[in-house]
Amino acid sequence: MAEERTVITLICERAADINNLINDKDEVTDAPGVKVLKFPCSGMIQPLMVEQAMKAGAAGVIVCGCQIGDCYYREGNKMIRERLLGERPPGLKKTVDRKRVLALWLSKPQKDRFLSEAKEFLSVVRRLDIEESKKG
Amino acid sequence: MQEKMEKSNIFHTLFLEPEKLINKVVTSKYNPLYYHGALPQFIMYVLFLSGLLLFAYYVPTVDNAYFSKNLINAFTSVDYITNTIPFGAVVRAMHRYAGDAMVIAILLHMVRVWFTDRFRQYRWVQWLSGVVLLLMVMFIGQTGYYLIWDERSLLLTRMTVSAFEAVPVIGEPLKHWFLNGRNITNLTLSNYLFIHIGLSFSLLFALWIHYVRMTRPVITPPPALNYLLVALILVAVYLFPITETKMADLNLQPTNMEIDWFFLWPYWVLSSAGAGGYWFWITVLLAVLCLIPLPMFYGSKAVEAAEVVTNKCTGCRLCSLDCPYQAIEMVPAPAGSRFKLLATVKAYRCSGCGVCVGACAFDAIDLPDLPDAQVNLKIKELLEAK
Amino acid sequence: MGSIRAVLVVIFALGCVYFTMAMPWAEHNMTATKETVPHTIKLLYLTDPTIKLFDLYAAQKEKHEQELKNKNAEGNLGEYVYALAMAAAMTLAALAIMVVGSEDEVEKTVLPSKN
Repeated sequence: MAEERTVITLICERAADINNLINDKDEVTDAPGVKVLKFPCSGMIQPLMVEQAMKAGAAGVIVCGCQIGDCYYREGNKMIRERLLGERPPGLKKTVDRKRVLALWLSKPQKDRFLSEAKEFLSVVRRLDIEESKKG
Repeated sequence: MQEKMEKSNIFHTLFLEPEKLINKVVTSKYNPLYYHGALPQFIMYVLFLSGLLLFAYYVPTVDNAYFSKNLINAFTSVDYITNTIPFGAVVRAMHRYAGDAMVIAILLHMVRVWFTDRFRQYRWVQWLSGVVLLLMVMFIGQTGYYLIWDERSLLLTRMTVSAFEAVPVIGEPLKHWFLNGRNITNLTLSNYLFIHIGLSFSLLFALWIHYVRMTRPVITPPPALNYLLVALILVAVYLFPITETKMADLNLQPTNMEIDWFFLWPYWVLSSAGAGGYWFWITVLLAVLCLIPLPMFYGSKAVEAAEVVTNKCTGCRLCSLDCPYQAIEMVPAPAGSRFKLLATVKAYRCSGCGVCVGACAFDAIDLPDLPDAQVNLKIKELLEAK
Repeated sequence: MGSIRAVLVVIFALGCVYFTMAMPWAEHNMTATKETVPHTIKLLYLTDPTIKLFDLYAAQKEKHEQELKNKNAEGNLGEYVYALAMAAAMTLAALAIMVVGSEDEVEKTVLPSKN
């Protein structure tokens, strides 16, 4: 079996408040293998960063911003959503496996939703890893 | 820090919980709390339309001598609208309650903007123009009550005159401007009508200033919310129908009136505090509203504006298009550059949100606090740490 | 669409029609005669069911009139009832739209795969 790879979470610091969920290594305590990097706004996340995380060996990337319509900086979450969907330049490269990218739009109190989605996503990408290693 | 905690606790029960609930039931698409700025804008259209219908039949005079047999004046024309024109009473009531709804929506907007901390630093222009807009809406609403020309209108007129007279030096001219002469005449009501309608259209100008630093302002709520809003106004029309009032009589001195608490509360202040007290409290209130965005109250550090990496910028304009605060301007590139344009950041408008970083495919713009290179380094560190 | 949602939409839509039909009735000062039936309805040969519907509303007439008179309403009382019916119809329409529109997942975006 392949080595268990990490999932990187790029999250807006005003979205789901997950400070209580992560340990001092920026890892989600209840979902080991999900690591968190915070941004002032999800609009700052470049598709390029998602690609680079994958290239550096991440099993998958979770992008998390605030509820659509409620960006503190007005429209950052809409921007990154449109960029991921390819509706606004710059977009994701074609080579990036879309199944390994998940975008969540959660307001401050929704840390439970974040945790459950992160766990589910983690198991999905781990399964993908196993399938792909079998294929060779 | 302690104070901030308290504010966030109140915010939690006042906004976050209802917000969460509404999101669960109708999703963020139809959450009115996410359209708090667009709601007053829509109500303004309702007011413009219903106002236009009323304007078609309104006669702005105290006494019209040309129709000597039947008295045609402001009051009787309003009466005609109410009793004779089809749906006149309903349109009148809609105009009135849409006005009240406007005040409620503006207050909601204001309170939410305050609690979510979206009013200061790079947004002070929006806050101050918002205070001006609120002031204009209040005055427009009050002139609406003068226009009916019933006993309440007369009382309000006289109270306003007494308040103006108490102002030193310019009191007398203010009174003459307000009455359009020394006494209440036909010209007084045409002045009221001019203020009511003219100031309403000036709202559009003030709104332009309100929006000028924002790219793509959200000004239209989804249709479903608009229907609900109009339905609410219509329910108010049924629950609080227009009632009969008495025509103003210049020889009488009415003393009591029903107060519309959304628009006419300043008159309550005026009657309980006197003219001097009235101006004192109104000035204090306005000063507080205007001083709220002063940075010294919050002890926050200045925004670290985004910085363009001059030799990487290709002048593609994506960052300037995506900037939510119009803080990036494209200027002609310096001589010798391969490109035509160069992005420049207007630091005083920048919020430091980093949307421009997300928009740049060339790593040519950076937040000083968190440059691109550092983000990629952190990602690598996270992946390597076991 | 989930079956619960579909049922809800149908209920809201029927409610919307019910209250919309109350509008012409209220407009003619809450009278239920052949003359008050809108012309388009007559063209559709729906006069009789419409009058039956009007009779249904007519049960409410006195209640509305009493309530509005207690509040000293000025003007045509039927028009206030029209406003109320319109409010109900618009609310139900808005609810139906929301039921349809809120079906999309907005808290999560799954990227469509590219090949």
